[in-house]
Amino acid sequence: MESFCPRLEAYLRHVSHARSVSISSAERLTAGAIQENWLIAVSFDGGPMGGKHELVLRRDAITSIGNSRSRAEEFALITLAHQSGIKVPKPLYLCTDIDVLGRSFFLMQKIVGSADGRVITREDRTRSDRRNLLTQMGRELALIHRVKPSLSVLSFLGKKTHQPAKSAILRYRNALDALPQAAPILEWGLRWGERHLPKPANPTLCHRDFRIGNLMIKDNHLTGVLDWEFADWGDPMEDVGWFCAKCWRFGLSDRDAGGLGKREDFYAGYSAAGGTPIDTDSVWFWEVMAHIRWAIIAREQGERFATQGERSLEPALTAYIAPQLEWEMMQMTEQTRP
Amino acid sequence: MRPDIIQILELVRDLLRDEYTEEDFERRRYDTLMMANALSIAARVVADDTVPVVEELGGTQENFIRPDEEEFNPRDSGLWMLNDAALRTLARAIRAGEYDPKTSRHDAALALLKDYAQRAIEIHNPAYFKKETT
Repeated sequence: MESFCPRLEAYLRHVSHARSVSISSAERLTAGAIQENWLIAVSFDGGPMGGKHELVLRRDAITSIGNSRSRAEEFALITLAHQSGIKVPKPLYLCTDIDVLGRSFFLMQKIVGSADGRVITREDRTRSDRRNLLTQMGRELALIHRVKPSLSVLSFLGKKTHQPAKSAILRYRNALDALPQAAPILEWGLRWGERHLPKPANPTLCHRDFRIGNLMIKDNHLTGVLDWEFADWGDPMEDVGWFCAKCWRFGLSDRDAGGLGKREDFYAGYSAAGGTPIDTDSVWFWEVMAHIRWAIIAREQGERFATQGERSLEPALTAYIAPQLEWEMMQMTEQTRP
Repeated sequence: MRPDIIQILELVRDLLRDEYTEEDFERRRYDTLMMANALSIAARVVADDTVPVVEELGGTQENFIRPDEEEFNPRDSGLWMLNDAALRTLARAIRAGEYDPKTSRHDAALALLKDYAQRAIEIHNPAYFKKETT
């Protein structure tokens, strides 16, 4: 049993008003390359949670990367999504007192399914199953984009802008400037972006990591949208482009909607649920930017290991995928949109 | 490339020495695969003998990539790996638009960058190009 379990039991007893709380297992989940995720099997004796539950504990990692939200902010976003009818794990408890587990964390109900992109994209599915699943995903993204939170609820989000593409380029350049090694290939891509800015967009609540890998799937059903740590105001086409970008197809390049199927099916679900009209030029722009952003994150992950004391192989080796992201981005900036 | 592969190998060594028992290998399959990947990258980095040559040439690279220079071919020169100073100079110039389309050095810079990315993939993940062609 993990050493933090007794302290977590005491915390849960307090916040759940249970007579007693007992944790029978705590398993570190491999998903979640930045934050720590644990699957906790726990029994509550008394109180509104009475009974056995499987919870997911999401805790700050020792180090983080730029633009990643705090657990308190992510908890607020998941709470808003849950209240808005979006498929997310039910948020339960937020703890920012670092005396409890050393770092901030929150707990949520486990949802059924898997988010393993490599498995999901290769599972045996009929064409119809894949179309149906992509339609569900498109619909869920549209629901996110239709959320109109009051500014007071999400006051921690960045400033609203009608030029999110320009803002993104500025943000990525700042991120590159903060890294110790210059990245001329990514600068090349950002300069391309400056010359190919999409039309201005209405500021929309964007998930900003909506892709296979962060979507829980059970059989042929979408059961939940995970990892809200990058959510912010933005261009809704950024989420569409991120989902369709080649770097998130898990090696199945010809299936241009997340490695699962055709983007037309994803677009159909998105449009039918009231999503913003698809602007294919804008989506292409954001697909290029997706490779740049992912390459920057990969480099930042490497720095967590190289200079910030994160003793874990996953962030260290993530840095080594940056060249292939840069290569793909170079290919894209040389061709006209398909 | 950051982080240095030697740093990563030191962690692999520590994990194997301090945290693995015999039965761990199946249970920790994901970690084991990452360690194997780190060892593969290290083997290719060690086998690549162009890096020391490049380091020696480092001082000349800033001149090499200036916009007013004559044509160059990075492959011919063996100068595939730019040092940190050269990377910074090139990055600044690209951001300033000195290599935009229709500038005289655009095509040469594009060739250099593509060559640079391709070479990095050949060392860090050569299977990537094989997957793309199959």
